[in-house]
Amino acid sequence: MKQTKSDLLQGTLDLLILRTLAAGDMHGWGIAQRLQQISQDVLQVNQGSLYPALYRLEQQGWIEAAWGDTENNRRAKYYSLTKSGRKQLAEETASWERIATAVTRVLQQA
Amino acid sequence: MSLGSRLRRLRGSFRNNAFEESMEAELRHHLELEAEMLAARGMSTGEAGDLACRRFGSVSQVKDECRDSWGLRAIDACSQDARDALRGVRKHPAYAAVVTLTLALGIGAATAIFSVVYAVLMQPLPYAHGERLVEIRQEASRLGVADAGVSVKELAEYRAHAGSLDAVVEYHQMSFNLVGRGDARRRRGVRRRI
Repeated sequence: MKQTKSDLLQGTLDLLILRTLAAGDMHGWGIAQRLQQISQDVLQVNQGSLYPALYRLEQQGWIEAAWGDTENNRRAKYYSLTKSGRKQLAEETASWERIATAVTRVLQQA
Repeated sequence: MSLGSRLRRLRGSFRNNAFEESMEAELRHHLELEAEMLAARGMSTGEAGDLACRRFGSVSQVKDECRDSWGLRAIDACSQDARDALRGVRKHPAYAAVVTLTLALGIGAATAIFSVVYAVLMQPLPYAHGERLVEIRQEASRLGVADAGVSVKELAEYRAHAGSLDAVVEYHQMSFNLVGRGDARRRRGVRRRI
């Protein structure tokens, strides 16, 4: 079955990463998998583009990275949400919902 | 040096080998996991590796973007701090003035004290081979005089017999009567006897 794949809106990737990490610590590949699974492959992230976003979020202090061992004993860089990251997630979620509601309203009325 | 290359150098200084190695390992790990997952679904190892790379996109481009988001953030943070500082100064001018004055006085005092200490204690004497200069003092311990001065004859003796010295010069301080048009004045001065 062919599916339409939506490009990610500018800035939404950050929000999605934060939301994914709110569920628990994860490495980059895990985040990519999770995003694809949960969005049922609608949100197609070019997997590589995840990393610049992760580095940016880490620089902003919203996520933290630490090297750890995976279940099959390999080294992996795990990301976790910081306290200010949680705050940022709440703010971005709220603003996303505001915009989505507004856009829906316009689409229905016009 | 152009602003662009300066910025690139600044950005370069935020990077280091540890960063590069960590990024390298992280991206390699991602590609391995993706290829393994695809292989577990029945692809051959070669196909799985190729598809993993395709899904990932250009590794070198991703690396560049990672470096950019790492380095640029630090520069952004600097300019953000500067803007915040300026806004703060404008918002609380009195406070800013007090802080500036405190800093100015502190720096001024430190500079002044350093200038004196440097001139008195640290700066070499303004003679050639200042490090070879020595001072000779004579004391009269039985009279309880620590600095008894040197007579002309003694100076000649030193010159004649102190073989370890290239030259000897004597100077001393004394008071003079200074007579001008008005009242005579008493003045202290330094006299050098060569």
